[in-house]
Amino acid sequence: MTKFIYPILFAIVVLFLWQFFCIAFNIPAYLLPKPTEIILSLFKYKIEFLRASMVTFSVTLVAIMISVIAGSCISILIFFNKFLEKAISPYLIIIQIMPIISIIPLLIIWFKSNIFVTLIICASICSVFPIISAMSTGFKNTDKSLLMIFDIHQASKMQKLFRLYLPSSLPFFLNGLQISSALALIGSVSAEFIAGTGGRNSGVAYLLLMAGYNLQTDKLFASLFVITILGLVIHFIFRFIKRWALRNY
Amino acid sequence: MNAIKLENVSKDFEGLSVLANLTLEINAGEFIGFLGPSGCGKSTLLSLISGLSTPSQGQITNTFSKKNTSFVFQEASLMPWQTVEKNISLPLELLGKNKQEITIEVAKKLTMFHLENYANYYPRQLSGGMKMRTSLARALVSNPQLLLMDEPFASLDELLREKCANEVLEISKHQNLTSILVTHSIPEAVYLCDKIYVLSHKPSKIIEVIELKKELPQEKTPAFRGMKKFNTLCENIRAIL
Repeated sequence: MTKFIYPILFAIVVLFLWQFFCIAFNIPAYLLPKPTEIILSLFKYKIEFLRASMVTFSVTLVAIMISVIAGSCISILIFFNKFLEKAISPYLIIIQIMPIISIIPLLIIWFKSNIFVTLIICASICSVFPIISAMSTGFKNTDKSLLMIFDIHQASKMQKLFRLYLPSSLPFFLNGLQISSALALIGSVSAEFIAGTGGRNSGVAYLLLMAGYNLQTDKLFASLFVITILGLVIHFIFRFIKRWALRNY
Repeated sequence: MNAIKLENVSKDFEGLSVLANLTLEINAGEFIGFLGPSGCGKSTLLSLISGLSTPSQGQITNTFSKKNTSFVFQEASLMPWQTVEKNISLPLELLGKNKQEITIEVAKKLTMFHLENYANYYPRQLSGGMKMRTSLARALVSNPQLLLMDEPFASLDELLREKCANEVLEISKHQNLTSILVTHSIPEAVYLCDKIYVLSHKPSKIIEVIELKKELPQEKTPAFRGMKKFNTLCENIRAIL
């Protein structure tokens, strides 16, 4: 119980001091709004936030799904084909270290008619590498003794893949998935900053950006809060999936 | 009859010589032990005999096919995502046996290793001894003719080691298995084996061959471990090593 009590108490104290600081020094709301104003803003724009959250959440989830499929396929291909591994590994590293924001303008040109696709591609590029890296590590860490049993009984490549390598790499994959899910959100938020669109398709990052332009600092803080909650929701969903999937490991 | 024959077998790994000029013969139904210091290439030797790796020099003749060969390792090496029953049935499934045959053979091995009440348990729910018994059951479920054991009891406590060793000895005799044991334990080798090859440090050579069948009683019982002759043999081997 103390695990929760102390952080909650700490948050209450910080919020109280923040409120006190704003009142005592008469800080203008456009510079630093009071916590109460941020809470009011959350309620005032709740429909807008809810709709925007759904957009960001959908982009993130679709990106994670694409990353899982693409990442798994790439990992399997490079693990079973040493030539391919040697040929494409350097490029995977180059794409990984390239700042994702720098390719967004290019994606906007290519998919200007569909910003949703641009957001998904950006978030997918951000989140695919932890999956590839985790699965490759998982494959390489497969129990050598078990592999000898499969070899001695002349198991086919497919038998080894589906009955040994994939289940063995599951703990690694799920760790990668947790990192990947966080990066997918970062990717979708970053992409929204640059490629974000107004209207019904806007995500939370776009609301945050607009709040900044309009000096609605209370709404900006509220948007930050919503993004954090989104991040927490995604984190706990994948943590739950990991615990459930590894219950027998 | 020679079931396995090694002639001047050497094995190098990237210039490092692990095994040097090994020549030996193993008869069908024999229980052979390889004793030697850590890292002397005993496990490499098992891999060569099984046909999973090839020698750098020399020739290996093995009359047992891969399908008739089974492994037991130091760790139980079970699949954590599968139940005891599914772990045991793995070799039969890989060999493409039908469901009915698999069910019958697995049930036999579950009974033989007193695991019938744990068939639906996962490895994490088992004790060290039960894991090793599951591993042994998996190795024997396909009724192999050649059993290769790589320090199979090293991770078990003393009492469990003896119990598992007794089970292996009994099964080996009962099924007329050709068994090859790699171990650090002198008493274990003396208790289980008909013949012991003592290996030197890397690059490993055979420094002594001890024919135990001639010196020891035909029927090895747990009481044999307490006999004076058993202890004398262990002392002699320790002196060689």
